[in-house]
Amino acid sequence: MSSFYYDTVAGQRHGIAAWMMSTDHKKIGIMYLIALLLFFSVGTSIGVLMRLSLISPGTFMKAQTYNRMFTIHGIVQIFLFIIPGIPVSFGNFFLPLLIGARDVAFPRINRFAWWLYLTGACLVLASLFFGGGALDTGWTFYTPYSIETRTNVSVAVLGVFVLGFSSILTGLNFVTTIHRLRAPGMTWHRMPLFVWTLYATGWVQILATPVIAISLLLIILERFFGLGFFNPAKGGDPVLFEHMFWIYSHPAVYIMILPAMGIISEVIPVFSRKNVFGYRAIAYSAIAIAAVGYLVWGHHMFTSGESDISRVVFSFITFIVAVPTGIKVFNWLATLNKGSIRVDAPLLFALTFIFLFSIGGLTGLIQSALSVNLDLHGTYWIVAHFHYVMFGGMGFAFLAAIHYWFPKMFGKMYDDRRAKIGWLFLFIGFNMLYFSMFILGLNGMPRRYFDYPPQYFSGHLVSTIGSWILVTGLVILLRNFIIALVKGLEAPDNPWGGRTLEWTIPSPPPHENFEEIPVITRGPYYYGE
Amino acid sequence: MRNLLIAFTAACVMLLTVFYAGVGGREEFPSGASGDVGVKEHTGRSIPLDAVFYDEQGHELALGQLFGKPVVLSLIYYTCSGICPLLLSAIADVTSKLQFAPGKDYALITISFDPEDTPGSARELKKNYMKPVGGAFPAEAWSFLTGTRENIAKILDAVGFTVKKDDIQGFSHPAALVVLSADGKIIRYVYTEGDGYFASRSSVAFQPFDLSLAIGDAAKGKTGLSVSRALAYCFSRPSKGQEAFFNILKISGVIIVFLVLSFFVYLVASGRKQRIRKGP
Repeated sequence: MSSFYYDTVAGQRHGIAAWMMSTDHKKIGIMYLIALLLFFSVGTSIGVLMRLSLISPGTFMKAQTYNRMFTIHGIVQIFLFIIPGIPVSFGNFFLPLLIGARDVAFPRINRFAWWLYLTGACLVLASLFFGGGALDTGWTFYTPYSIETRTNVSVAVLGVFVLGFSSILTGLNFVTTIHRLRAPGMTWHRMPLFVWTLYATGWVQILATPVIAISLLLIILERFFGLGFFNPAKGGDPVLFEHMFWIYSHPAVYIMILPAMGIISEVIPVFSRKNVFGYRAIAYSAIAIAAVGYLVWGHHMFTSGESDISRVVFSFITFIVAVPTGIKVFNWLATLNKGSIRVDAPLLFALTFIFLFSIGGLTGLIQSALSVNLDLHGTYWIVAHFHYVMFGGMGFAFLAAIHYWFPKMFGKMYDDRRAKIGWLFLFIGFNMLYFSMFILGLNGMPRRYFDYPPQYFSGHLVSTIGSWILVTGLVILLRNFIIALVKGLEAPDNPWGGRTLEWTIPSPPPHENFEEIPVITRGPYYYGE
Repeated sequence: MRNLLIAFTAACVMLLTVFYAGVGGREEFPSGASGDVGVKEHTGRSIPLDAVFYDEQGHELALGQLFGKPVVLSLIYYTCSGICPLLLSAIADVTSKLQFAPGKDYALITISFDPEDTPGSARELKKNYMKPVGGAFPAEAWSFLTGTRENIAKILDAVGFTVKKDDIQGFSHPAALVVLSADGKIIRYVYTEGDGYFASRSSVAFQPFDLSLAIGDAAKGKTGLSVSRALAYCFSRPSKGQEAFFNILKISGVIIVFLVLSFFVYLVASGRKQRIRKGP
């Protein structure tokens, strides 16, 4: 029997060092996955506490604590979980496997990016304790408040800056890997679709992340040296920061969601036993989303003071970006059509992704209409939309991925029934939690508020109860994995009948992935049609 | 594997504790550093009610005489042609959407921070803005005051406003409302939330939601955090030095795009890596 990737090899480091000093993409992927789950747990717990406070403002926490809570919730979930998310964990583990390579193009840079990620996370953590303590700016760090607040913006922003570099390096690494290390015979159009989305994401990371690095640096300069880039009294402009922030952060939405779409494109053909419908359309629409996604950032600032012409243009391009997304959704549905569908947990999560992400996407169209946006922009509607896209989208794709690849990564099977019970709780809780926010928003409940007049109470109550159900679901899923790790059955090499390369090797994969690099002769989802 | 699980759970609990300790630990009100022009919030402090001002008729009165109920205070100057008229319109507009009775549940006070303004100009302004607020609005519920340099400085200091006289004409100043309790304590700052259309009437606007919450709190004497800190400024001149900064941004943008493009061209040109296929 060959040795698995996590077995210690004679003559190499042992214990923690065997992991931390490893350049094996699989070990790095697993470490990222653990860190992501850790931060996700923290971010989610803070979110639940905020919901708790909202059914009785002032009882559980004070207003300023609430401000800090929603900021930390945002920073942890966005910068430590969602943005690195799927690429660093599943991307690292599976990209080389999917294209028939032994590792990524730059294994040491990969390890360095992991260390940078840890450093950034530690800096964010440290910002809670030094100087003015946890931030209260919101995760967007908008000026002028982020310049003026006494809370510890500088250290947190430095942390996010470092995380940005980790992200750039990962993108660079993946793009080079995809160009250089594909197995013989694996042409661009024989690549699995997850690889296509990682490719598109890689370019977004390389091109967009430097912009946020620069803008965050400017905040630090302004706080320490009073340079005044964003201070109108010194010739600057606070709206400029919003532009620079969203020029990165809108493409960052696609850094989060593109790999998620890649996961769905992997899962659906396998569980409907059918070649994916419209391979090229799905692949190219990923590139199209990445490209057009650069040009829509202005829709975050319809109410911040933009010229009417730019608002109309941004609104229009925002409608355009929905087209490639629609293409993907229709192709997934067409793949399911007449397939021999097996609803195992991975497919269940993938289908839920399509449902929730469609709600998120369609409400996105509603608010990208300029006139409607002016009314909805400052309300809970946006919070609801955002969580449908991020959690309902990326979150559920992440869960689909972990249910799909868990047997391969750990060599154990989990209990399918328990996963489905967890899904049920999660699905009900999720919709109670966030759908009530759409209604609250339409009724005029402004976002970020600690307190509200009594007529909004019932909406908040439903939402908070939803958050408890949702967390129950998450705990059931997590417990299921822990049980599987400790006493799960051995996983076969190919439990789902997948056709991509990772299923041709043992579970878990051996050190060098492939004993012999395979030669590819056909597309990734060949089911004998 | 079991060790990994224990380590994960322990790390999770530790991180949670650390985050909660960090987030929950402190409870001071945040406040801005004093920039050149801006608002440094002084929530919870009181303003000097003995400061003397002149009403629209030129009669002297101590500020305290206008209190005894919650007050919505605005600070502008009367010759201002920038944001001030929009701000006053926004006040007039939002009062009609409040459930409180003006004059009974709250009063409006507008003070000019320009010592050269006179009760005469205050009278003109009042005449203008009593029209949009409607007939039911009692005239004594909105006072337009003028005052001397010292008294103006006292009030500006107390509420934390910094304004600056410009070289050419007028002032640079922030545009925000200060909501005070019946005994002059600062309850909350309310900032504008306009729709951002410069041409439209409501490019400066106050949310009835915000002002209701603030007046409600003022009646109870309960201080609160100002929630939406999007501060509007009024500048009587275009700011200098922006062009140079934008040029720096343009140049760095071009450099980044150039580097990324050359990387792409290199990758495409160099093609796939030639590998020696390792046997078992």
